[in-house]
Amino acid sequence: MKNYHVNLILGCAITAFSLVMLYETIFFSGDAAIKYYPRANLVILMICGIWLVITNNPLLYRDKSLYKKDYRLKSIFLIILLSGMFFYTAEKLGFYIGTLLFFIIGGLATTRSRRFSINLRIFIVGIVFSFFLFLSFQIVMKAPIPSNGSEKISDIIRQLFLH
Amino acid sequence: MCRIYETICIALHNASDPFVFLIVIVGMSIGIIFGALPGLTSVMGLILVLPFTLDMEMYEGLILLGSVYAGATYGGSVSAILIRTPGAPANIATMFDGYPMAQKGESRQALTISVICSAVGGMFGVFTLIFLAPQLAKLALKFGPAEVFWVMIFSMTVIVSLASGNIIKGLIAGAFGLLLGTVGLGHEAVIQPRFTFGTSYFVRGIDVVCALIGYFAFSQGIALFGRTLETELPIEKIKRGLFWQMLKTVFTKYKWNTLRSAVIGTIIGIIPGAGGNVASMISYNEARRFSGKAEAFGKGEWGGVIASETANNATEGGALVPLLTLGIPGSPTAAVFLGGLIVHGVWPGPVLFSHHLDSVYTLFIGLILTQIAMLLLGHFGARYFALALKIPRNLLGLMIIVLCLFGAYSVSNSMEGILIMFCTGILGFFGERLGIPPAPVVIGLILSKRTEAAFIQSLLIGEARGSLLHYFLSSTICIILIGMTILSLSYVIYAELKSAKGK
Repeated sequence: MKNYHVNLILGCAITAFSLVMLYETIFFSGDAAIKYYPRANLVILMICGIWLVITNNPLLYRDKSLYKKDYRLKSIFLIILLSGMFFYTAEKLGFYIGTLLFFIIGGLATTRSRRFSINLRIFIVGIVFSFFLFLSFQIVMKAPIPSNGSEKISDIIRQLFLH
Repeated sequence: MCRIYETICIALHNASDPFVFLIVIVGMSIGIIFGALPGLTSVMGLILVLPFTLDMEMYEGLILLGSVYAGATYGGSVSAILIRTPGAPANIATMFDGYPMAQKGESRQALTISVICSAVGGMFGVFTLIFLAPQLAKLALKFGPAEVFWVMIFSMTVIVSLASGNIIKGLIAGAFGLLLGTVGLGHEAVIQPRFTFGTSYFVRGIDVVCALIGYFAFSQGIALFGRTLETELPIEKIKRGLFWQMLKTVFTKYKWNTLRSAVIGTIIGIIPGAGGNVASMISYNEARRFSGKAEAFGKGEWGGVIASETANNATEGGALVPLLTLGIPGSPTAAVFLGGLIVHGVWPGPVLFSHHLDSVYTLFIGLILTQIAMLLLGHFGARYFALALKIPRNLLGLMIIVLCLFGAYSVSNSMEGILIMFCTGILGFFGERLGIPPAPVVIGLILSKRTEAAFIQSLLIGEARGSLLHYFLSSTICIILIGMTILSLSYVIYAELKSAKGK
C-alpha cells in the first residue's frame, strides 16, 4: 500500500471517529462547561483528519513510495495473540504460573532454533524470572497480585526468613 | 532560613539510609543495561521500574527513577561506542567519534571519557536544578486557575515540538491523548461518565500510568519480536586503567568544551520539548566550531565524545526544573517522572515544595549520589554491562511483556488496568508504524484533566466576575505565558516550514 493511501484511510477514520464522538457529547448531562473541552479536542482532531484527507488526495499527490516492510508481522501478531491470552488467563491461573507458561510457550514459539540447549535456556529463564517476580511482588512488596494459592507459600517464606 | 537547614538535615538523614544507596546502584545498573541495549529505551526502563516504587517512600521512588534515567543516558554511549548503534537518540553524536575511537583501539578511553563527562554533565544539571527550582516554585505560588490554564496550554506546545517531522500527525496524537483524558468521571462537575457508551468500563477514567506502560513499554516489547535484522554484536576488549589520566584531560585540555556543553545541555533540558538528542547535537557542533580542527571530528576526536556526553546528561537536571516547579512534562522521561509522583498522590508544583520539601531535597541529594555511582559503576562495570548486548531479543521481549502485566496490575489493582495497558500498547505499536508518535498521546493524557479543571474553574470565576476575557488575560503572568506559547508554536512552524523547503 502506498504512503498516501494509508494517510488517506487514516484521515477518513479520524474524521469519522471525531464525528461519532462529537455526536456522543450531545448526551453529556450536567454543567454545560463539561462539553466545551472534549468538543474543542474533537474539533482539532477532526480538522487534522480532514487535513490528512486533503493533503493525501490521490488526485493531487502521486507518491510511488511504499511503506517499508521492516517488521516480521507474523511474529508480531503471534506475540500479540499470546500476550492477550496470557493477560486474559493470568487472573485465573495466577500471575506467577501464568508467567512461567507464557515464557515457555512464547519462548518456544518465537525462537528459530530447535536446539535442546536453547529450549532448556528458555525454560530455565522462565523459572528464574517467575521466581524473581514472586520474590519482588509477593514477598518484598506484598502487592495484592492474583497468585492462585501462592500466598500460602509466600507466608511460609516470610515466616522462615523475614521474622 | 531555619526551615531550609532543618529540611536539608532531614534530607541528608534520609539519603544516608543504606536502602537509598542500594536503590541508586540497582537503578543505575538497570538504566545502563536498558541504555546499552539497542531497541530498549530509557523511558521503557523507567516505566518498568515504576511499579516497584509503589511500596517505597516518594523520594526513594524518585531517586530510583532518577538513577535509571541517568544510567540509561550513559548506557546508550556503551553501544554507540562499541557497536556503532546508539542506545538512544541522545547518543547519536557520541557515536560520530566514539566508534572511530574504538576502531583505533581506544574503546577504553572512549568509555572512560564518556562516563566522566556523563557524571560531570549530570552533576551540573542537578546543581542547576537545586538552585533554580525553589525560585521558580516561589513564583508558581502566585498562580491562580487562569495562570495554571495557560501553563497547561504552553505545555501542550511541547506536544507539537515532540512531533517535529509531521506536525499534523503529532497534533492528532496530542488531541487523541487530551480526549483520552476526558473519558469517565474526570472533573467534579461531571456527574455522568463521558465516552463510556453506557458500559461500566473506564468509569474511573484512563489510568495514566497504565497508559504509559502500554505506550512506552508494551508496544516496544512487541516491537522486539518483529525486527528482521539480527546481527551478531561484536564487543571490543576493554583495557584497564587510564581513569585519572582521562579525568585530568577532561578538566584541563577540554575544560571549556566540557563547561560549554554542560551549560548548553542544562538550558536545552529546561526548554520543554527539546531533549538530550538536541542538546548533544548542538554541543557537538559547537565543540567542532570552537575546536579549530573541525576536520578531526568524526574521525575519533575526544572532544566530540566529551561534548555529546556532557550535554545529554546535563539535560536530566534541566528537564526536572519545569516538571517539579510547574508540572510541565517537557519530555517522555519527564512524563514518567510525573507518573512516579502521581502514583504517590502528588502533583508537582508549589504544593510539592511546600508540603514535601524534605522529599524534594532528598531527591536532589539522591541525584548527586546517582552521578557518583555512575562514575564508579560505569568505570568498573562497563565490561560487564556490555555483555547485556548478547541477551536474546525474544527473551527480553517476553520479560518486558510480563513486567508490563505486573506493573499495570500493581498500579491499578484491577484487570481494567491491564486492559488499558494492552489496548494502548497495541494502539501505540500500530500508531507508530503509521507515523503517529506515542509521546504526544501520553503527554496529552497527563495534561488533560488538569487543563480541563483549570479551564472550568477559570470559566466559573470569570463568569462570576462578569468578564471571561478579562479574567483569562488579566495578569502579567498570563500575558507572559501566552507570549511564550505563541513563540514556541511559531518556532515549531518555522522549523517545520524550513525543513519542508530543504526537502
